[in-house]
Amino acid sequence: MAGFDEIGIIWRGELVRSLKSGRAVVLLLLFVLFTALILGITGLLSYSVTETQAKKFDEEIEKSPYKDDLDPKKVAEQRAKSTNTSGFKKFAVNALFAEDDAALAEMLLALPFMLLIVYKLTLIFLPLFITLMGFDQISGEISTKSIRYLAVRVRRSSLVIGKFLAQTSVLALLTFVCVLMMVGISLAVDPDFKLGAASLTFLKLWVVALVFSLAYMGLASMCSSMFKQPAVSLVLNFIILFVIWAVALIGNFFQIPGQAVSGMSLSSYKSESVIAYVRYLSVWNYSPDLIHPNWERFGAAGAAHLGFALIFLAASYLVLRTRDV
Amino acid sequence: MSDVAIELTHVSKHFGPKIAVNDVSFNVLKGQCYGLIGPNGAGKTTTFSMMCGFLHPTAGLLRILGEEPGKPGALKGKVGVLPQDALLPATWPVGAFLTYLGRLSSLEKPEAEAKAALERVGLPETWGVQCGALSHGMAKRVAMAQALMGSPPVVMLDEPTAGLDPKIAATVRQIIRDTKGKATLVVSSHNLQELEELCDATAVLDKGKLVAASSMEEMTGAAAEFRVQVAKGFIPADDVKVLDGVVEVSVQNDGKLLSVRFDGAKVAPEVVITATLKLLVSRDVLVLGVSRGKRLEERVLQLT
Repeated sequence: MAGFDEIGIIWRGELVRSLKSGRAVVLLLLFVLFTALILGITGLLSYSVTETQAKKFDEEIEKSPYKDDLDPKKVAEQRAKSTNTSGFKKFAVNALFAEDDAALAEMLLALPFMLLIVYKLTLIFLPLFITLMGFDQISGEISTKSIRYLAVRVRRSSLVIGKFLAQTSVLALLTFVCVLMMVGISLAVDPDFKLGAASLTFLKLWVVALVFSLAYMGLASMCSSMFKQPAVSLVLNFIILFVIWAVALIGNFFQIPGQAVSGMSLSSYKSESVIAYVRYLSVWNYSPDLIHPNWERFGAAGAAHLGFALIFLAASYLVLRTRDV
Repeated sequence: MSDVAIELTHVSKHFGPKIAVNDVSFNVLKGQCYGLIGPNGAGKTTTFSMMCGFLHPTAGLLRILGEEPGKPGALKGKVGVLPQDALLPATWPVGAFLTYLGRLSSLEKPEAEAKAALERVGLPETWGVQCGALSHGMAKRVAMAQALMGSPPVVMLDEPTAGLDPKIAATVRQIIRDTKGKATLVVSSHNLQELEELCDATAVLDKGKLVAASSMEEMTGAAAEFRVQVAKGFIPADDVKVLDGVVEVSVQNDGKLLSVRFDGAKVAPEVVITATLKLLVSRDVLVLGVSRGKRLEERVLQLT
C-alpha cells in the first residue's frame, strides 16, 4: 500500500513540476505549431488541387464551341464532379494506410482527408517529441545527484512508475490540445463532417494517441535510467527509435510466406521471406491497427503497445534498481 | 534489541578496476555521534554513500537499524541524509520541496514538519524561494533541514560545513550538537577539530582501508598534547621531559612556547598539565596561558 502512496505522491509532484517548468510549455507550443503547420500545408495543398481542377474545367468550357448551348445545371454538376478529390483520397488511403483492409479503409475514408493526413504525420513525429520530453526524467536527477533526496525515502520502482505516470499525464494534456485543434479545424472546413462524428472521432484519436505513446514513454524511461549524462540518454533513445522504425520497415518490405494478398495491393509486389517476421519485434508494426474499427484488431494492437511499454518500464526499473545513484 | 545502529562487515566497493573501499568493518552504536575521517580519496564519501543505499557494496554486509540499505524502501522514515554535492531541484520552491519530501517520508504533518525544519536551520524566510535561487550556504542549510525533518533515528551528514562561512558553519555545528542524543549521527568531514568536538567515536580511512576505529577518547589519547605560552622566564625543557607520561617536549617562539606531547592512555591530561605548571611556577616562569593541542589531527596525521 505504501508503494501506491509513494507512486501517487511522486506522480503529483512531478506533474506539477513538469507543468510549471518552461520546457513543458515550450514543447506544447512546438507541438501545436508543428500540428498547425501540417494542417496549413495539407489545407493549402487540398485547396490548390481543387482550384487547379476547377480552373482547368472552366478553361475547357470557355474554349468549347458549344458553350452557349450547354445546360448550366449540368455544367455545375460536372464541375463539382471534376473537382471532387474522393478518387485521389480513396487511392491514397488504400495505398498508404489501409492496404488490403476494406474495413479500415472504409473507416478512414469517413474521416476528413486533411484530418487523416495530419493525424498520421503527428503520430510519426510523436515518438521524437516524447523523447525530447522525457529523456532526462531520471538521468537529469542522477547527474545532479538530486535523486539522492528521493532514493533514501522511496522505492526505486515508485520513482520509475511515478515519473512515467507524470509524463503520461503531461502527454495526455498535450495530445488533448493538439487532437482537439485538428478535429476542430476539420469540423470548421469540412461541411460533411458533423459534430457528433467529430466528437467520437476526437475521443478515438485522443485515446489512440495515448495508447500509441505508452511504449515510447517506457522507452524514454529506460534510456533515461541507464546513463548519468542526459545527453547520452537522448542519443541512445534516438538510436533505439530509428532501430524500431528500421525493423518495421525491413519487415514490411517483404511478404510473410504463405499469406494471401489481394492482387491490387502493394503487398502483391513484395517477395516472400522469413525476414518479414522481424516486423513483430517492432512496436511500430502494431500502430496502424490502433485505429482499426475491429475491436479485436484494436485490442491486439493496444495490448502490443502496452506490452512493449511494460517491457521497457521493467527494464528501466531493473537498471535503476541495480545501478549506483 | 541490538545496541548497534549501523554495522559494516568486510565492506568493499570497486569502480571497475579501482578499489574505492577495501574490506572495511566498523559498528556505530545507537545514540552515538560517529565521525568518518580521512584524506581526499580515502573512501569516506563512498562508504557514506553505501550506508545511505546510494551505492551498492561490491562485497560485504551493511546494515542500518538491521536493514540492508539497498533493499527497496528499507530506509524510509528511518534515515535522514545530507548528501555531499547533491543539488536541490532548481525549479522547486523550498517549502514545496520540503513538504514533498515530508510526504515521501510518510510524515503525518509534512508541511508543519517542513516549516519546523526550516526554522531549525534559521531559514524560515526561504519558504517560497526557488531552490535554484539559494546561495551555497542557504542550500546547504535547506539540505540539512530535509535530513532532520521528522526526527529520523539515524542522521547522516556528509561534509556538513564544507564551503560555509564561519558563522554559518557554527550554526550548522550547533544544529548537530542539538541533534546529539536524539538520534544516531554519522558525520563525514575533513574538519578534524569539528569532529573532535562533536563526535563520540570515529573511523579513520586511508586509501580505501580502515586504519583505525575507536572512541574519540581512545583515538586522541595516544596523541595527547598541550601547549603553554610563557610571558617571562626560562623553560626547563629537560625537567619537563622526565615528568610521568611525557613523550616529547619542544620549545618554540624564542623560548615563549612550550609544546608537550604525552601518552594520554597512561596519564590523564589534568595530571600532566598540573605537574608541568607546578614545575614552571617553581622555576619562576610566568605563564600566560595553556591550550590543549589538536589531538585528533595529530593522531590522524600519524595514521594516514
